[in-house]
Amino acid sequence: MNPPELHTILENASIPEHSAQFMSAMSGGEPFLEGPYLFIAAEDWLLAVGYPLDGEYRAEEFGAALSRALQRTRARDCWAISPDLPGNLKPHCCDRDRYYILNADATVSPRLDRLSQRAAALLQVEEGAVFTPAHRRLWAEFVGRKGLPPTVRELFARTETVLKYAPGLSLLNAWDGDGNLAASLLLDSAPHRFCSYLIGAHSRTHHTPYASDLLFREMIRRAAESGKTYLHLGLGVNAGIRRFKTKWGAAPGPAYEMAQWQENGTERAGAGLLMDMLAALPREPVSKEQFMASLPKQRRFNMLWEIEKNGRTSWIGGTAHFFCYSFEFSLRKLFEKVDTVLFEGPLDSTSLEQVSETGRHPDPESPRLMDALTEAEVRSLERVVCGPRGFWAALIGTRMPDPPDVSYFLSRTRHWTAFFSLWSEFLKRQGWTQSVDLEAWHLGHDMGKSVVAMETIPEQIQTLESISIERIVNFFRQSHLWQGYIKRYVRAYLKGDVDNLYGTSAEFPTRSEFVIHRRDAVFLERMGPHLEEGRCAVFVGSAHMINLRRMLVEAGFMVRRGR
Amino acid sequence: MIGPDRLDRVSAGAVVPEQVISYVRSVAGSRPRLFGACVGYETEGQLVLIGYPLHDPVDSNAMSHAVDQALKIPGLQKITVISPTRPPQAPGKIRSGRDDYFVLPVPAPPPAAKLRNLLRRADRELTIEHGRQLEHDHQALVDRFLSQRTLAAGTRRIFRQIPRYLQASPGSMLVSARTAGGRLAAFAVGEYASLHTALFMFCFRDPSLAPPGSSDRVFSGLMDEAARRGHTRMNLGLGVNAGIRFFKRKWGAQPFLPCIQTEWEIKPADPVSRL
Repeated sequence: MNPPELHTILENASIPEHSAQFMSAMSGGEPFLEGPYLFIAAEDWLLAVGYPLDGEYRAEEFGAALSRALQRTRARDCWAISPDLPGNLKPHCCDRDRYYILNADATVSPRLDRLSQRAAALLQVEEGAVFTPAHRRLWAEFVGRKGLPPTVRELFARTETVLKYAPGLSLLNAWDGDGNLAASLLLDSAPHRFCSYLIGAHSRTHHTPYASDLLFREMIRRAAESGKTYLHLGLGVNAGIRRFKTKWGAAPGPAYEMAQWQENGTERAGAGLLMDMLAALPREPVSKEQFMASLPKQRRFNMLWEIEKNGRTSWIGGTAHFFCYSFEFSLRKLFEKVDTVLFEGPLDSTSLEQVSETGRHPDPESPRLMDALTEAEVRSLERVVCGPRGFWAALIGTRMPDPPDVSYFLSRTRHWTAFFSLWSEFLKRQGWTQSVDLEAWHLGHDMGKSVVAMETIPEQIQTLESISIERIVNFFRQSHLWQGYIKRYVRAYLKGDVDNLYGTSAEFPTRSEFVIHRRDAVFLERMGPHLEEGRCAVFVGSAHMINLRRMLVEAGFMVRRGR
Repeated sequence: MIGPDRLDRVSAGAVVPEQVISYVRSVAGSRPRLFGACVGYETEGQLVLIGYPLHDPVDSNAMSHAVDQALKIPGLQKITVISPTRPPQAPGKIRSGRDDYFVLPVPAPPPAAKLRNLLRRADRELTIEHGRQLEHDHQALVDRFLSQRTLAAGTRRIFRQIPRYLQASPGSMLVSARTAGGRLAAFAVGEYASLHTALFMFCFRDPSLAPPGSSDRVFSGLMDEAARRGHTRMNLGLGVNAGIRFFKRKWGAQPFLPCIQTEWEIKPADPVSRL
């Protein structure tokens, strides 16, 4: 909602709930208009303010606006207030009351004036927007001794936060001679025609008689001085509160009915996991649409095998360090059945940084890829990795915004860093922004599993050092075939078809005897005790699955497709 | 006030960390709900009930009433109650775990000479920063801590979720201590959502960098923040072990609320007894 729209709403506001920024700060939702009615929504909930900002209230018109808002937000938990609820909401009505209004030019009774004067002799009145330590102590004391309704307690609980986000809010304070806060009112002056009294507290610890009366008189005077026509004292709530409000001359104003209900949206059925995730999210100001849009595309994780021995079940999955889909939902379900998750090596940020640091600092005498490639081959590699360059590429938006420095990697880093960096940059340009092993690593930690690395970082670096420079050079020379290679790879990976995963591209640099076969035996040895215990999920690079399935069978495990 | 009930009033009245809704939601992902005067967190057939009633944390009648309400949840399979006294509904054969939350008044009593010296030394060598964002080096310190210790899965999960918690809780605060070279020596996280009780949530330090007194210095930063905001006490968390208890007692903290954890399975009523 832009500033002119907010201005128009405040200009036409007639009830405290029209103060859009205050309502937004209180609820964490976003305001929007449907016709003359204000709505606030986020996640799966909707608040409907059925007091028109323009014209007379008509229940049918409000009902129609509400239908449009529900369609727009697909909200489930709903609240509506209006002077007279539309017929279909009547069965959900849970509260009836009246707003209490006090004219800004109302005459204060001589008795109240006299009592306020008595307090004025002892107290200093000041208005500010800072929730000071004294406010915190007063709020704590007041809430601790008063039996307040939950909705009012929520206002006290959120005061410090909403003060930062709702510009019209202020605290009207009464300080005694020792600098103690005797009483304070939270006011909202954002609506142009009126000022809303939201909550108030007075101290017994630093008690000054009639401090609240002084603040009430001051609130009325300041409202009149700033051109407000009236004060909104909120709902009647109960006899005691009504008595307090009428004592100051307030009169019953617009009628108030509130409904609370749940919509039975069809999109919720069968969306169990997603909705569980939504429910588990902290209440931040993010809409359901934003959340949905932020999720990476999901696929079922089929590169998975179930392993069983002596009635104990575990699972083993083939990962891809770079991929174009997320498998979070599948992995989440899998992890509900396991206690331990094993990976080839550690994938925490410190370990990854250690690998990266080693890769960026080659030994001075070590061979560089740049020396093995011709200039034409380097240019060709650059085109494949960085994509189209130049004016037209920029114009039609196909130019990579921050391309890697191919020459730097080829001449200044270890060969395996050059390979992984340029290959991953190419994949990133194709939309491969996911990583199966990293996703599983973080999910394992998030779900509180015991996460185990089978190799240490020095062991992993030793493996990387063993990758043949010739294989990398050959792979770079065939960069024009990479597009076809990754298409075939995605198809086979999503099917869990490990035998056809690499097709004819057997020359993928990491598919060597040292990287794959020797380590298969190491992994089998290190995962063995965990598999014997059961309730374990193992993740290895998908190429390891070619031999590991057979080796597991030979070790006495029953291996079958994951379900 | 209409709208979704975020139960901020529970956080505002919190005396123990488990009553801070945004904290538990972030680290556990469970759904909060009130049972009488106590908050509970539900996840698929399980409930953790925080048996410290909001109006008075040691009101055992109100706690027992909340447990009664919780036991009526259809399909409830397991209940865990954290409370100052053992819930009377717990089956006799079930054993409870016991610890104590430690508390310090704000402002804290003047530190003893040894602690004063430690703080002075840390002050000479460290620069203190306040913030709400966990940076890469904070995360690295957490990762290192996790990789060096054998911890329960639940504890590991909580530590992993610290960034999410900091983001979700407007009342959280991070106090970091950096060396002259700008390297992170230690950091502590405090929670200030409660109107009266500030909460000491986490503390990590890098033993290879942190001079003596680093943890005390970041903790004193949290205490200063509590005083600045107007809190009247700081809950330093559970005793846990002798080392942690020593740290808390060194500051003058005293046991404040017992924390008795009782967990039991709920047997479905058999058809005959239902008849």
